[in-house]
Amino acid sequence: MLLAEANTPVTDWIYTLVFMAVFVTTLMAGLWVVIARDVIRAGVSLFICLSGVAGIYFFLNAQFLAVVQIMVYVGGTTVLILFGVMLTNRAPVLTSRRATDRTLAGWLATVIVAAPLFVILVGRDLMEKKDVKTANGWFTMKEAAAQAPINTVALGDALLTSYILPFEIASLVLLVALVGSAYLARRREDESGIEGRLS
Amino acid sequence: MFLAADVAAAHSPSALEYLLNALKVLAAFGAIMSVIPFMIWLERKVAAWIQHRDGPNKVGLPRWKILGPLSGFHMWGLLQPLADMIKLILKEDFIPRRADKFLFVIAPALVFVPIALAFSVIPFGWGFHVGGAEDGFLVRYQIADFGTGILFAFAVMSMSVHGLTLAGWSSYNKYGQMGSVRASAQMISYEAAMFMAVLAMVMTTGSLQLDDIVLWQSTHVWGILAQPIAFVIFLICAFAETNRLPFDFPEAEPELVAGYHIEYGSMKFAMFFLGEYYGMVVQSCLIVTLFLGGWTLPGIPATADSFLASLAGPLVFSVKVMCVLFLYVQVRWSLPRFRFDQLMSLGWKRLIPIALANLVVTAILGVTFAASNMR
Amino acid sequence: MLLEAAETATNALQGVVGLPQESYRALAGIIGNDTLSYFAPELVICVAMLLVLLVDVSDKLRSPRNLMLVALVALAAPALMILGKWGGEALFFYPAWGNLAQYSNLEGHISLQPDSHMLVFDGFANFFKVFVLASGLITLGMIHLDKGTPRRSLGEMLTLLLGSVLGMMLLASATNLLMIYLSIEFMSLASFILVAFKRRDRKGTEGALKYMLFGAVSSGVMIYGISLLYGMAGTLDIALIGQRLAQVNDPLAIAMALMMVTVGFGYKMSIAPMHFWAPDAYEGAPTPVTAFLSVASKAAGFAVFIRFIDAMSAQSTGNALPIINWVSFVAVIGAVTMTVGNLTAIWQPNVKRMLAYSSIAHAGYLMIGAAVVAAGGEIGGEAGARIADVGGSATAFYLVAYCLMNFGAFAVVQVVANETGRDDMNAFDGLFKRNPTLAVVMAILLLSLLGIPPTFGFIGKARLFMAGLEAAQAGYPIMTVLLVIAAVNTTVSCYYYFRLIRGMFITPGEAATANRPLIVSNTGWLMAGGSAVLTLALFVAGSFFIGPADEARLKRRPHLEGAAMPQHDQGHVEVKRGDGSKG
Repeated sequence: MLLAEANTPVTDWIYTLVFMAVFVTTLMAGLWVVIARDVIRAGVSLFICLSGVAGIYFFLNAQFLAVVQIMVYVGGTTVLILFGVMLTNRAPVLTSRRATDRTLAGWLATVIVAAPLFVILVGRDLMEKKDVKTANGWFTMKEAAAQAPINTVALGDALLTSYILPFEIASLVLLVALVGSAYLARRREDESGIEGRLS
Repeated sequence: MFLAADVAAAHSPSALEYLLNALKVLAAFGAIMSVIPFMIWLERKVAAWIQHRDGPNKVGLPRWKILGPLSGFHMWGLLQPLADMIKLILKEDFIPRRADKFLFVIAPALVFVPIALAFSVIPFGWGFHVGGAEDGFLVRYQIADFGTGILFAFAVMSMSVHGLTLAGWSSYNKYGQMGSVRASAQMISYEAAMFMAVLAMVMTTGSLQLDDIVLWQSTHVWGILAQPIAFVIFLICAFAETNRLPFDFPEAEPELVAGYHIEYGSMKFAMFFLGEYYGMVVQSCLIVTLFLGGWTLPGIPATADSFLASLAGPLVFSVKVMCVLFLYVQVRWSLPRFRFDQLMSLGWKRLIPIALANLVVTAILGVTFAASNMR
Repeated sequence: MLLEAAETATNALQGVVGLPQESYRALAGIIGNDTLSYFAPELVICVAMLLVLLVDVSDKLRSPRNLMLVALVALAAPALMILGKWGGEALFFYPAWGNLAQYSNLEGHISLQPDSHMLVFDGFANFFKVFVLASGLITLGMIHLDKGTPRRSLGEMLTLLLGSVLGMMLLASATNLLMIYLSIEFMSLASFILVAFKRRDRKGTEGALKYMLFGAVSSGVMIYGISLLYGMAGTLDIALIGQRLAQVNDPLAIAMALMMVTVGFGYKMSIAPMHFWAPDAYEGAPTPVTAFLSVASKAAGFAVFIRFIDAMSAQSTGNALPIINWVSFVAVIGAVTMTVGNLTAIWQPNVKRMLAYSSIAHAGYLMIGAAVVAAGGEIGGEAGARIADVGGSATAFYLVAYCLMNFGAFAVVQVVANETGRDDMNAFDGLFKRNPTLAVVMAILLLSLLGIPPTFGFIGKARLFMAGLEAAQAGYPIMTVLLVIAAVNTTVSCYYYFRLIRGMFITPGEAATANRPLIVSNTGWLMAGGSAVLTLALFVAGSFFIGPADEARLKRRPHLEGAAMPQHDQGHVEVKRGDGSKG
């Protein structure tokens, strides 16, 4: 059946189109986060950007990662960011002041970092019309796929065996963060006066 | 761009898959959108029944001669939602002068779209076989069969908080903002307990895939019996997540007038309205899938794949969903609203500890009675 | 029906009764595996962190004394445990938890990756762990001395301090980029909050915010570098990365990735140009925290940086990495750092800021040691290994000296601030009149920081310079240049150290307080006087530390199959060092 065959030009085209749409949206949203002056709008574009990243994970077939990305960053972190801005800010629209005298330096630094990265990751491939990275001996996706079967069961096993140490340490990091933020956010009356000194 | 083409060459689905998926999306979306008006009618009727009123009973068929004996038939008010919809469409669509226009416009969509997306992983039947035994394939009654389906459903649904938050914020209205802050606080608080309840069920069945969970239930027992505590917690949280009574603080008419959608009118309001009901439907589907055996029923083969036999699945599924939806409506009209501090203390001090304890007990039992039910 | 039910019940009972046996076997599997005993010091701190939190919420037990006691034990016990293993066999830590898997129903699904070990317990890590723990102990003393820490928040402060120490200990032995990143985040998160510990203090908040923003950016850059490295090597283990990178023919990408990762380390070491956060954070933080950060945090940064350089150099890879010339790279950073630190320190009106810039300059001096390690790594073989070890132990040695004198100086600042409530230069004017001993103590510590003979600081610097000379003789002329720059910088630093000494001894103090004696508590004398005495004493008995510091050696992994160039394999297994021949 012709329809059931993969990789007809039309399907490739659809796939590429969707991929590019996600890709471009992510990039644009990321850019907008940086240049938006209204903090809430920056937050919203962060939300779009992070969703786009989750979409790219889906394209890379990393479903678990994608879902966790949505859950943690899109559903959790950005909501808290927006919340924080709304609850702490009295003015109706919070705008970040633009430090005009540093704009040039900022762009310069961006270019200095971004240009080599662009060349390394995409530029050479585009110019030489071949996969330069693999030719140079980079670890390829194919090897990666062979090394780690991508499914949730394997992921769970890895987290609880080979990677249990980082996994547990991460929980300690969160504990420290929790204690610290609870301390910083504690009500002020606790600090009233300088009762009870040491020594 | 050849890079994207590379990726496409590796993964892209066939044209048939695109076509089938498009059809499935249309069918599922259409089904839910046509259930919602009925749902609204049901809500009013049940409300009337509980309050000893008649409810909608006028809007029926027009008095046209061609309709014969049915001309002017009231139809128990079944067409009332249709009239409501026409009213909403014809209303003036306004944006408050000081509102943040961009956010104001996209907020309703941000509420609606994630909820609609969540439906894509719900299996509403097993599927049917087309073609011959060798070259044929199974058409699943499910839009996307994910390895991590259940996580996807909840992750995506949690995105709709953004819509509520932004709706209140962008309308430049203090009631609106109060409502949206309440809505987000409530949803964030109850997501945790809800998720722990689901995890208990995932531990019991040993899969994150929704159809696996359903099949496990068909061979063992329904989730409601295997995980009764998780079921109760999930049910309570589902009410909170959809902002329904007894948890309808975001809208709380006496306090906040209408909450986050106070400044919305016409189709934008309709979008919120639809989103709420769509959310109810999706939550009911999840309840049915996780705890009430999904499309299966004892006595009916769960994985029959001839076309006719496969139709039983969706039928059973919709009946079950309807029952849960009825529960939603009934609860709304029989329980009073909590106070906000009660809501928070219920969520954080009761549900989360209970859900956590349930999770730990499930884990211990799972390890003790090892292999049989895990994977 | 009934029979079935009975059978189910029996099964359930067996399950319940069987559980202890199962878990016992699992437990025995973990404990019987003696690798866990190497990890015990870290576990003690984990437990202590929770214990401090629990003691803090208990109405009965909650008292500053109890909290301090728990923290004291939590820092002293692991240090003793590590000292017990001093000079013992080094070990790569494979997760012993893998054993647990065979007792659960996951059997058959486990595939331990060959590169899955996260930590190494070698002499180098041991040294830095003891160092960090000792700094933690001294910090406890300084917290005791500090009058600004409110009693009510002591629990939080100690929890964060222990957390930070734990992060640094993990960092000292981390061999996996994932672990390295996590540990850096761990210690940073705790330190951000410690810096902001005076919550209403504007300077503290400002410092913490700058610290955090810098931290966020640099760890972002570092993560990017790590992802590039992973993309090239397909592993996160630094030894394997080094070996596999030697086969990747992509100099631009490698240079970029290694530089980006270095940014993350450089931020912790506060080397230029990643040092901007340091003065503000040091000035705003409570003095004990400042002292702790300037010593322990920096040491942990150097520990991981040196380990990273070593893994990424020819010594380990068996092949020079294209383009990245670590020696020149490190030497240039070092020269820039010490120059920036010293030149900026001159202008500082605040003693804490002055000491902050001086600590940046010291990071520059320490880079000499790192450059020597890099040189040794590049030379490779027996000779290179020796040079690398000389560099490592010189760094370790200098850090001991630096720890003593820096903590001592900050203790004096603390004592003066307790009395006057100020920490600018003028607060020290006329100190000699008010408390001659304290002024002399401070002078000794400053001279030691400067590196003038009758002090331990001189020996530290001398060893560092000697190590540098050795590398220079081995064919690295850039090391000579670096040493000359370091010498010039030392001369520059005379200015600001002597300015403070002049203030204490010659400039008359403010009229109101000029003749009132400045009273120092016992803890103050212990902290400040103790370090001054040690600084002097160790000038004579400095060799006492040379032996232990020599144990601070890196354990390098033998090459894994398929990871390295085959022709180098054998030579490197022979050069395996740090396995305790020296006891």
